Amino acid sequence: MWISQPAGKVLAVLIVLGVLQACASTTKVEVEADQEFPRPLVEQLPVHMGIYIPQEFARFAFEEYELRQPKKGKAAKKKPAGKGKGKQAPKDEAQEATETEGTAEVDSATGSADVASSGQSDSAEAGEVATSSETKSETETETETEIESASVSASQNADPPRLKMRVDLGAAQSRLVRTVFPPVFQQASLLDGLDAASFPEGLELYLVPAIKDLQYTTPKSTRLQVYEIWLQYNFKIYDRNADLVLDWDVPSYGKTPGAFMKSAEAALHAATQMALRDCGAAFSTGLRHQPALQRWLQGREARRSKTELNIDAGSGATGSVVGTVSANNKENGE
Amino acid sequence: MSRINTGYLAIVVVNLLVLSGCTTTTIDEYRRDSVDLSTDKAIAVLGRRHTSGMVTEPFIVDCIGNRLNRGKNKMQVYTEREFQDRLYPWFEPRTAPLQLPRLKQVLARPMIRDEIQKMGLQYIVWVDGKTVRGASAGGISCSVGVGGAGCLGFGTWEDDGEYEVSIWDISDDRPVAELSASAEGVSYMPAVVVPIPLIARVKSSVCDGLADQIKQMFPG
Repeated sequence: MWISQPAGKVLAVLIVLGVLQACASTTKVEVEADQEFPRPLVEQLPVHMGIYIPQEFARFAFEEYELRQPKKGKAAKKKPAGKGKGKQAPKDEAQEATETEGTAEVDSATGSADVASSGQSDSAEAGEVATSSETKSETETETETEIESASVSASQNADPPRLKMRVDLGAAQSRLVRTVFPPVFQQASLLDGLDAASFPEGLELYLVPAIKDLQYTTPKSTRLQVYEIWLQYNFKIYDRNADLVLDWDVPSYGKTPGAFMKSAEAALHAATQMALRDCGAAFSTGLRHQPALQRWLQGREARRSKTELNIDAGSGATGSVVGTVSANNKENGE
Repeated sequence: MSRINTGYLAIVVVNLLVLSGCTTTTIDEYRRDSVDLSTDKAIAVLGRRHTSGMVTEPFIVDCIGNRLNRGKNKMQVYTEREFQDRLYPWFEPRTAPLQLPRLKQVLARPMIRDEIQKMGLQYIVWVDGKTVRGASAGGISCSVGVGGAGCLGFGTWEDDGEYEVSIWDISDDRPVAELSASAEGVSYMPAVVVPIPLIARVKSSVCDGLADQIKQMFPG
């Protein structure tokens, strides 16, 4: 029995439109700013810590663009797939082009991370234009070239890159820092700026968080029924004189199983929430074990002990002076 | 015509409700020690998620917890999220103790010990495993045209679930029981115009079996 009624035709058209929409849709993951993070049950570090959240951290959004492929024979540049951080599933090249793992390193000036990855390919050659953002020293130039070539490719094609994936993370990660980090310290103050003159009384150190990298995988690329997110955070801790005390990279990871009728958005959202909690766990349990911070704490204790000794010694000297003065007074018959 | 459509729809719905794939579940139990859960004590059901690429499905963990928390011999159960939040960050995938010696170290922290006492928690039930898609066969083709749309074909696939459950008595830092469950299910999807999924409820079957077994271990 074929659906031949008008309603059936409308349904059929809607199904087709739905399928087409699914093919070209953008995955948008917005991690809510009101996501709750629990207070960590950890022993507090005996420090008055300032916490400064930079604008680029608070507004961070990861975006991955898919380049429309040029027509056959027009690929601007061929690069072996998976040269950067974008890993490829072991499939044929045309498939590989659509299954690039998302990865980005962050532009600290803008707080955004844009990645261009190759889109669907109708030729094996075009499938090789997989591009990823990689700013580590050796591959930096190479990556710039890749992105440039991808841009050239896109401009030749005249079609703008299509937004393939967007993860809005800034609000949630700022909330994580504001909620989970302060209880790690005996005293913590949120700072509006890094002007030392405006620091609260007694502030000893201040912390500046940054996100360096975001990567994700989907079942499409790994053939595992798991959505995964990796976040690479960096925490810098300075003393009041803006001297660097600790430079600490913290990777965090979240994963969630894919399920029938579960959207990629929902799965990646859950994975991102897990990754944020994981970052909080890593920070709250691992900070005290950082050798640089332990050295600073030991140094502070040593300075305090020295100061106390000096004060004691100073008190002793004063006493002797007083004593001397008294003795002189006695000698003078007073 | 509308009567025919209604009748057809009813048949489809009844098919979906009544028919399902075949599932076989086997539960094994190894009890090390007797267990005793007083009415004022609680248990927590948690999933293992420490292996990369492998996740114990939250569905199974929540399902077992819900079943333990209702019906005959119902227990006071902390959900995974509630438990993890109250003891954050010590039971996250990164930090959760895999073995009892590590659990002892975690519980040695006074603030954790105090919080567990406040919660009245006595047992932790760890669930580890997953269901994977096995062999599949057949095929369904669908076509959409101006004149209408329809599907024709037959598909079948297997789901295999393997789960292990460890029950720890955290008041004495000792394991009290281990359970294992394996389930196989074959799902079918015949398609004549409309695909009719006859899904084997492997996870639900595992959940029911494990929850019933755990309840039997804790006489009310």
